[in-house]
Amino acid sequence: MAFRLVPTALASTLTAAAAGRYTVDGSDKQSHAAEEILNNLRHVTVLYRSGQLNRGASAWAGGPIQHECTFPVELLLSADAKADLAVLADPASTAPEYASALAAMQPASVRANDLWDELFDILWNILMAPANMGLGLADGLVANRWVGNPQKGKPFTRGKYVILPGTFDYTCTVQEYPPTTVPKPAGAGAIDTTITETADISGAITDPALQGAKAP
Amino acid sequence: MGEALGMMERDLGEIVEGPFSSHVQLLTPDGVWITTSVHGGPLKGNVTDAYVVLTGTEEKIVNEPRVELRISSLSRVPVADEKWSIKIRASAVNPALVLMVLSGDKAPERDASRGLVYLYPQQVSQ
Repeated sequence: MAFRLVPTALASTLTAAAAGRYTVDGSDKQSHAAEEILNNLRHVTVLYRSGQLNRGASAWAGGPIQHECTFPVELLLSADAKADLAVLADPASTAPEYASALAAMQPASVRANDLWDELFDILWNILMAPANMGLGLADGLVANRWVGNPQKGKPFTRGKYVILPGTFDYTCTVQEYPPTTVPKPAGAGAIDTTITETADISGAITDPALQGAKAP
Repeated sequence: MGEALGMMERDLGEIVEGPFSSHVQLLTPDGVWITTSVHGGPLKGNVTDAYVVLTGTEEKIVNEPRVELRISSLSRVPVADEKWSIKIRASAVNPALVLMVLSGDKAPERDASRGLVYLYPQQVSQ
């Protein structure tokens, strides 16, 4: 089925547009050390979560069938506090200079919150860009893409850092094509699925082979 | 009563500022460094990279640094919503002091009944 192509295409699209702003882990669910992801915006694409295969007349031999898919994308980042170290680390600084530097200090959780917003902003703009509408897959395979349901997790402390996870959903419609081969019962000949018009809408016989037959 | 309190303080001094303690320096929100103890000598405390919390009958290891100081050794005790800086040893095997800040997410915990205050340092960058 075509939906299996989407997670990889999603990761490839995001990797191509990363420009050093974040790291794409694809479907890698391995945990990361807080120090490793420090101030390095990062996200993890996870596998297909749910879908809706809509029933339709086109399901008979060949499709396409509309497959509305949801792919959760996980975000993970860590942050430390931010302060003017040129002042705080300088023994020659005066008390008012120290006090001013401390007053301007930004706690780690505030930084993590800002970084999360920035990351979602970046990813939303990439995935909603017209150029990335089809994720580089065959024309028409992926349609109706949407980035929504952003959910920020709860910040927690790990070691000297604050970690902030979160997710958003990438939803799209994928065209699925069922097999076109019609199975035949054992011992039976081939089933002819060709439709031949034998009468027009008024009921008049149009097939020359059936001329003279009584219209139903 | 006074003698009992004196014994408790002496015990605290041995536990918190004894041979297993390390040097600690604090920068108050006013910009004043506290480097010495009110009792004399350099300010010292227990610095750990993780600690155990008891919840009912369960023990939980919390993976974050914590500094344990004797309240009576401090000329000013950190409280919630204040911005402080702190210098603690780089690691258990490296006594060189490194600059950090007190967490803006976890307030200092004052355990007045035991005469202790717990501080939670956080990494800081420019």
